Amino acid sequence: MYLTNDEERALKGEYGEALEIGYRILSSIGRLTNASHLIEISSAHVSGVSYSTIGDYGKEFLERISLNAKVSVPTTVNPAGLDYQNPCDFNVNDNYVLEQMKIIKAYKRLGVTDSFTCTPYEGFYLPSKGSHVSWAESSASVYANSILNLMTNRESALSALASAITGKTPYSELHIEEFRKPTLSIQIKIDDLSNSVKFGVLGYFAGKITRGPVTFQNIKNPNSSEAKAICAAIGTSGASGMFMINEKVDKVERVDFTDNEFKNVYDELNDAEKGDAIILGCPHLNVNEINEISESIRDGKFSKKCLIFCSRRTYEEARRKGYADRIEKAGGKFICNTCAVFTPIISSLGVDNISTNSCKAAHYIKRVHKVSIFLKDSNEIIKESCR
Amino acid sequence: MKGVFRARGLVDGLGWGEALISKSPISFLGGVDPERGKIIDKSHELFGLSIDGKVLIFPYSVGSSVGAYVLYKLKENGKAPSAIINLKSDNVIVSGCAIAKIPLVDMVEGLSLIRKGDFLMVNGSNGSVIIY
Repeated sequence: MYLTNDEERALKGEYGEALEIGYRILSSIGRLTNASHLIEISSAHVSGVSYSTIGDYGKEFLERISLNAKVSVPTTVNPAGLDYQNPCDFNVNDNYVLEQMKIIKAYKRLGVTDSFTCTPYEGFYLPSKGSHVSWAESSASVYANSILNLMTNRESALSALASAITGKTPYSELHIEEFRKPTLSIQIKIDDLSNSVKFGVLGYFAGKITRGPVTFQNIKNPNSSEAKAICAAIGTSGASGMFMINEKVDKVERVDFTDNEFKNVYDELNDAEKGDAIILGCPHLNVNEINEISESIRDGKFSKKCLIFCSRRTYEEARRKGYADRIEKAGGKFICNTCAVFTPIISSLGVDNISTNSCKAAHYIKRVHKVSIFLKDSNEIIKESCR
Repeated sequence: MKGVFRARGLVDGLGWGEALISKSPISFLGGVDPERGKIIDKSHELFGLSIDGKVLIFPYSVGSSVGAYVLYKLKENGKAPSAIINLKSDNVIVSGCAIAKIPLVDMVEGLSLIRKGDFLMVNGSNGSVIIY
């Protein structure tokens, strides 16, 4: 891969350790992905924030690199393992709180935006359409490519961090127009693709059978909740980084998505007949989604614990608009800046099964927390648990 | 000397040592103890063996992406392999070797000629492996 003289000097350590590490990561990933050179990016989104995911080894690396580094482009970060402004709401042990705070401090030293969300495209800086970015968090990078007309590969915590520090990314794969064409066409043969669970199941199905861009044929354009569900599910089940709706294609492989395919994937994710607690907000909810929950609650009260995950910025806006109040009066609990999966809060609930509308949460919660999943649309969950 | 073989150089640097070969993939998080530099996954074919100073050969990595930080920790503790050779590398092993400064190559032309204990010189910068 070609590097400019300046990039070569940075790689040799002439501009300090942080840039040296950054360019080491990018030049190595660039060779792995057959990139010709590095290009400038307009923003970065970095994963690897929750102590539950990166642990002590990740924390120690971040503490080290953050001593002498700053991000050079607008950079948002993923959710943490708990809400650092209200760390004592749940029975999380002191050591976890302490170590999580160290990670957050390291990111703040790096100069990131304190977004702490997996949906940085809702309420935070967005570059103009067509921009190259470097986004980790699989659901966000698929969303960036598919919905926002941004160009990014599916970055890892380390490659996105390297891009945030250097302001560059390898010019490869989904940064190149010719690699952004569908390599698989999925024909939708289900009459009623009507809620985000069904779109999620479709995304999960697609992610399992292709690594490349995929087009979904014969469906309406998904609304933003449905699009978030597709993106999160594609990112969970495989390596594909992009989908399109009704894209004209010829000579690509075709696969049908019928009631049969739907049922197989749904049955793989859904392994409970009820949920003793409710998890909503994977990916993090936006203000409209919170409003919808608020409307479907009416004057009811939750008969079980209902946890709602979103960024603090979203929560504050929902409060200002009066949407959060009704949910809280019904017994729902907002948890800000925290991942709905990679958090000790889930285990602290002490339940054996959980209701959620998220295929991504279903996939990970059962693996990480050994809890069964009741996968249902949020309207249905609220209808049966809020009276 | 068995010869000089071309490879794809992924992480710069020069590393040498005895070949330690695994036919199965390695999960660094949970599979390797970064304090002692040993394989601690009981179901792994290299269980109990030290990777410290070896040229570690395995097809690719599996498991958590936190494995990248485990490589960094191994290096900090002075227990890292001196170089790594993969059949086909992946994002986790590449970024881990990049931050830990462990020379890394994949797609080695003479891979099948390498035997356990052979002395190897791995050049991640120009992409070559010398088998002695």
